[in-house]
Amino acid sequence: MSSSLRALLDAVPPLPVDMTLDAVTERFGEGGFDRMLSLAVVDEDRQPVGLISRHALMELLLNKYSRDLFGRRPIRYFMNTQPVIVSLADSTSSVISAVTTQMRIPIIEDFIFTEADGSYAGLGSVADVLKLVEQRLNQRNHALAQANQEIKASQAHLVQSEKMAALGQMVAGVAHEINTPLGYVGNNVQMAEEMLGKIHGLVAAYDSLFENLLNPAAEQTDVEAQIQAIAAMREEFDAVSDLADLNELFTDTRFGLKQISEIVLSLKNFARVDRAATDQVNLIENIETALTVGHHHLKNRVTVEKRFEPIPLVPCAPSQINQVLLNLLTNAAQAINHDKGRLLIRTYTRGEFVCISVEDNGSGIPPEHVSRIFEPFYTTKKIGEGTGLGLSISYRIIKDHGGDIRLATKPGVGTRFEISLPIKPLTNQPVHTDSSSDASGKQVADSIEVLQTQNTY
Amino acid sequence: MNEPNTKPTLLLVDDEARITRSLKMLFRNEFNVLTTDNGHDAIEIARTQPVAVVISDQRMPIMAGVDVLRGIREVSPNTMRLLLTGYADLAAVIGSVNEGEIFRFLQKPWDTEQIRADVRAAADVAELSFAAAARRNHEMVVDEAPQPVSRPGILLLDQDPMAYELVKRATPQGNPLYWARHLDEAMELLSAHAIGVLVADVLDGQASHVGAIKALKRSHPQLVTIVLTQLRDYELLVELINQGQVFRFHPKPGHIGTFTKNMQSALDYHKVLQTQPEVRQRHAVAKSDKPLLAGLSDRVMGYFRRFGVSN
Repeated sequence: MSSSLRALLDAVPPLPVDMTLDAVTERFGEGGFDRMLSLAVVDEDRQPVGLISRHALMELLLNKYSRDLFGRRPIRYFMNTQPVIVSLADSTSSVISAVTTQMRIPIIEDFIFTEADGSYAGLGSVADVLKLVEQRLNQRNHALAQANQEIKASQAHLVQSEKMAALGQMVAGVAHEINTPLGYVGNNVQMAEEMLGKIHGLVAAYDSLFENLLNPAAEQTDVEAQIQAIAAMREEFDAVSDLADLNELFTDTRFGLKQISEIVLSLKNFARVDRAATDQVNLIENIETALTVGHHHLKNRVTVEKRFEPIPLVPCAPSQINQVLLNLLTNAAQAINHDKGRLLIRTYTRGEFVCISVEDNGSGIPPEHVSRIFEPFYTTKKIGEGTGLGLSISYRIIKDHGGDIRLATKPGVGTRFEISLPIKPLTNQPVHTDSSSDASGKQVADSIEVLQTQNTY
Repeated sequence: MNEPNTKPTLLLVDDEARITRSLKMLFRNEFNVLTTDNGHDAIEIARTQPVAVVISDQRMPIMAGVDVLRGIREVSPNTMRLLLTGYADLAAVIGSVNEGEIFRFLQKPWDTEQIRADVRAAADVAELSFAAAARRNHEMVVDEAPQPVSRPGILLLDQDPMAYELVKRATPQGNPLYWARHLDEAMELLSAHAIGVLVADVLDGQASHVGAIKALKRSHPQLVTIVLTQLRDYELLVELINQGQVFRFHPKPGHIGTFTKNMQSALDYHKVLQTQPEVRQRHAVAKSDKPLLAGLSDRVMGYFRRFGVSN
């Protein structure tokens, strides 16, 4: 039995069932059980049969002559025969629930504790039970608050690891993008160096021949030997045609270096560490940056069409918006499972909002997935391909900017995502951002048709 | 195959023309260099003419490098295959070994001297292979004396009892199976018995067997190695390909069906290595810049020294 039940127990001696009303009145007068509102009545076997409260006794005695009339009658005629009885063998929670559901208002009585065998053990006060309930509630609240904090912490941790995973994927892709030009640039430079070494030898040989030719004192045999040496070199090495090739090598090398610096520049733009978190941003630049960084997902497979209407600058954290855009581009690229991939990216203004629309002709999203698409951890990708956090983070970012993200999709036709961001800065009033309740059903209801017509471009 | 004065053919497959242009210029003095950006064309070229060496990129739009190399292995098994990639793709590494049976796994950006050395080594081996194949064709293969009665042993180097169960089930009847828990035991078993196939985990507790696997391939060129591992370390696997000439990578815990197939291929290949010595050259290992035998016990080092493996 639980110790918290023992703490509630007050082992007040009970009243025998034949005790007269007079004797009971005297017992109440004697006191010694001030905390109790009532006394229990037990039979010969110490089984509880009822309860008599101070309140009930007072009411009896308030009637004139009642003591004279009933004083000698046994208490069993006056007691409450249906008291609340709980066993010390019960669990604390079942005792609490028995007492709180059965107790009558106003509280004029206590409840009876029995031992495991049903015999009388003592009384318990309803007030004590209520105190215990409050205590337990406090404990539970505390535990809940702690759990809530832990969930928040692990959520932040997960968001961070999703960021790291996305970053890792991006770095691997970008490394590939850089390694290819680096491969031929390095090779070309090495070959150019070797070729220049040979050319240097050849020029030196020509030079000394030239000097000998101008020198009247030179021996004819020396000159002949030099001519022989040059002829041998020319046999092995065709300077004129190799120099022409070198030209081509340098064209490629310059191209490769330009490509590398473009990639590095867009990485720098992507991170935007050197800019304020909230800035007036030209979103078209962000789209271009995300396209460069996400290029390895798209190249060779997907034709990108841009239809950019001029849009005003928008106050936002550019690195966060880049994350959202890259996420949308990556999803679109992954949804395209054929080699006639098309990606249409549009910008336009609608009322007080600037909109970016990203539309693919990929596999589309089945209706049963659409309503859950912004939920954290909801993913249909294979393990390792996605954590299921990408879109939920994108959703949060856009909502925190006071914007909206919506989609239209049709299986087998494609998917269109639309981000809208307010042109005016957010006021201090916090935007309602409860992702769990309003994340579902965010569909651009009328856009399936748009999607279909646009798919015929 | 080739006229003495004809240069061997080197086939370059990459969707970036600047890569093939650059490599072509590097090799055009020594090789007849062909280039394509398309895996289908590459396989067709290897089918219709002798190609000594092929270098393929991994990430290409029409066909991935691993598939190109597998296709070329089918139509021209004597062509030496090298994969050149700029992207750390683990599936590509494993596939290049298990399906493409490649000679080297090269990474972009590459070292010019290293790629020259690798391609030259590959071309030398290819020449031997093509010549031996032509000879065998010419002589119509007089089947030599029946195979020796004793069948090659299989050596497992791993403490994991699950691995032992797997290997035991995959070992054909008649091939003895030896189980070494430690490298020392493996050495003793190797010198006492005729072992054809080595199955080893890369990591055994804290100990790494990478150095040992590489050294064993040097001292026993006819040994065919299957690496059975949970490890997914890109760099380590590449090292095991280039310096250990691992025959198959098998994930742990292994699937018995595929493992039995791998075991059979390994035993078949061991037979080829024994009967056609020139094939061993196809698995010549690259030099390592790391000391091979660091951390091995004196006894084990003594063992390798007897076989002339050092550093």
